[in-house]
Amino acid sequence: MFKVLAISLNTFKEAVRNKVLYFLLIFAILIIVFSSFISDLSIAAPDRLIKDLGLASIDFFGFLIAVFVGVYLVYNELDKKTIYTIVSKPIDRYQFILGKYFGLLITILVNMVIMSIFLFAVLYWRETFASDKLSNLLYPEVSSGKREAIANLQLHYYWFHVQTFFIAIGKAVATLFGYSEAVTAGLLRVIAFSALGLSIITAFAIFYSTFSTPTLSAVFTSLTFVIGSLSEDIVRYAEKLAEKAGGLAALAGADVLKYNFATWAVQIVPNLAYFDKRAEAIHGPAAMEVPAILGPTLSDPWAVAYGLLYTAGILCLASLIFNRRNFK
Amino acid sequence: MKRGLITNIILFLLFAAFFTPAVLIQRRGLENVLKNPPFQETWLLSSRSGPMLRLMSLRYDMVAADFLWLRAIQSFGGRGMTNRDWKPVYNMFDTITELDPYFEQAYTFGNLVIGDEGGQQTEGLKLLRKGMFNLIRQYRIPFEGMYVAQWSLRNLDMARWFGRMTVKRPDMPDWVPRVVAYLEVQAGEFFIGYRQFLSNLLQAIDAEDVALQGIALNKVRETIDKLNMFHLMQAYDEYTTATGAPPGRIEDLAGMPALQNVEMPRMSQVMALIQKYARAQGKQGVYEGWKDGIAMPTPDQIAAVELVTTATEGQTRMLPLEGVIFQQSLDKRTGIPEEPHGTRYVLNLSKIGYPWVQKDELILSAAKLQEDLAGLLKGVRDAIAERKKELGRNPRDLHEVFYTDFNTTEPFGGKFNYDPTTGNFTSSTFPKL
Repeated sequence: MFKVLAISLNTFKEAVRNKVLYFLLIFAILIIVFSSFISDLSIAAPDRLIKDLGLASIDFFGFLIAVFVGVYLVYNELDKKTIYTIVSKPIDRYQFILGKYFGLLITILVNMVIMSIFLFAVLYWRETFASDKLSNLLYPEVSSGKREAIANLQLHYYWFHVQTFFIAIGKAVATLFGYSEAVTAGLLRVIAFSALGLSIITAFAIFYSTFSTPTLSAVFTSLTFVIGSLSEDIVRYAEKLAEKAGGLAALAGADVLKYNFATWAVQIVPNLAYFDKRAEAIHGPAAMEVPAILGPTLSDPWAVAYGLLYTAGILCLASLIFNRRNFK
Repeated sequence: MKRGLITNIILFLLFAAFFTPAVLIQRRGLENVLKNPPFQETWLLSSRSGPMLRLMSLRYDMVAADFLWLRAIQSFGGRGMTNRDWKPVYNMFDTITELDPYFEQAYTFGNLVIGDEGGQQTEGLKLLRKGMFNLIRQYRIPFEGMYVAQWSLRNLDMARWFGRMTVKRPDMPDWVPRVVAYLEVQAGEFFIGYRQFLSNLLQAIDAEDVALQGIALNKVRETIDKLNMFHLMQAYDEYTTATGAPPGRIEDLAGMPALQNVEMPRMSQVMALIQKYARAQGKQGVYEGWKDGIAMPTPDQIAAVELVTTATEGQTRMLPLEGVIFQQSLDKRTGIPEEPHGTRYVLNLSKIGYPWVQKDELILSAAKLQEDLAGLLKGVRDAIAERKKELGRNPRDLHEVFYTDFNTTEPFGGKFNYDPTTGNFTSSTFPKL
């Protein structure tokens, strides 16, 4: 356990030195902050735009970090021959893989936390300015219906902005610990599930890097992400094939192969849609309620169990391959 | 030196020889680019590309919807308002709602843009219909569908369908059923409308909401009036078909089949029932101020009301009694129905016999006809006064006022009298009016 922790912390330290990480982080933060300006172009639902863009950025840049940082972690050890110094110590290879995995996961989570703070802060900041708080402060009501500007108007104006900035940051940090307002309700859950989805992608990044080059690992991980995002559509595609043919029994030729491949493939590839809770958070669960006849979707505990089990499975496979790997 | 110069010149010429045609080709290409619409508009907007875009956006479909939403707002101005080209704008909203089926504003704004501004109400309704089934708990989308169907497309049946969808939504405000009931009444479904308005009235009594009582009571009265008019007009048609001439008095219609043994509510009976049941619950009932212009029950009528004790026992609210009051307010009657404003139905004789007159102007309440008569008298009196100013004396007759014979029939069947000595113009039915 301590060995895994030591490798994890070391991997984390190594990852934070990676400049790519900072580029991705800065880019994500820029998108989150600019979403506030972009939302002003919308005539309705501006908050929705910020949340959509912010949550999607957190998820997508988390994925990019998993790919661009993750695929090099094992490869660099092999390329620089530093693996010899590690495997010569009393450390099992699976511990090495787990250490690398958790190190990368910590890196991704820390980045997600930073991005989340910015997203929450932007939302709280906008919320403050959406109300009449500033105008009431600068132009208090002196008598019924009559308002007058206060002394040092400009100074108060700027001071209010500084104050709001720090309050927004404070609230954003508190949100990570469970504080919530209407504008951020449900967002922490979305980010947590997003992290769970990314834990699977990270496991895949480590898995591919145990037996292939960084470029190929990046391609494989990206394709896994694409397939994982489309797995529900693959099911629908298979159903459509059967429906078009007039039933499963009527399928013929290449369609049989396609149908079987699609139905079997979706059993194996990860279904990342289980971890996508963005729509629920933005529209509210009531808006998305479907008639009972359609049946319930995968509930949260099942989704968590699925994510953990899937990740564990992939890490086992990665360890298995890494165990059999010859470093010569 | 010389060789180097020659080499440079040759290189320059070669450069010019290669580069010039390249630039020309590029220029030609750019001209073609300008001839064609931009990328998004050929690919994204020429058809409904939502399902494909949803696949391509890999779970980031809501973000794609957001960007397309911003683009749609621009297209509303550019493509829609300037070029009056609404098809791509519709495709865009369709794509947005395909990407994010729960984007309520995209349905409502899309309908506003395409239907109200673009005049493509059918396309706007398509969007609303799609949204109505995607957002199954919000009333707003089917309500807008109802509005468009009724007030833009004048399609009452479609409006009623949207209305029925609207009233099933849990977030519906309490005024929506009244609008829906209004449409039902318009469509001739008087009993559906009547029951809804009656329900509103009982709710208002429970809540002691005086304003809502006024609205609901007015609607109940209006619905009963419309139902009565429906039967009266049927009787009118039956009479003219049977005799070949219009009726001279409203009573002439009483024997027609359309007015025999007809089940309909009476306003006075409704008021009697409400009063009796409200009293049984220790409530005031209908607010006193609203009782003007309402057919009120006689004390005997109130006494004759039998309370359904099984329904009233332990009951402290009026609304649960809606079904009982509804049933008890209906009775089968023969003859001219009771006028719900508290007057009586009369024929408007000044309108009968003219083919251009709307059918619903032929029969009305005595109070309304009296108002019309007062208006007519005022109009003639004003004309007489004007003519008097010009002549410096009273006109000798109405011919001198109107330059033609004044042959308007007095609506109640009386006569118009003009006195040239005093200049007074009066009706024999209401001489003091």
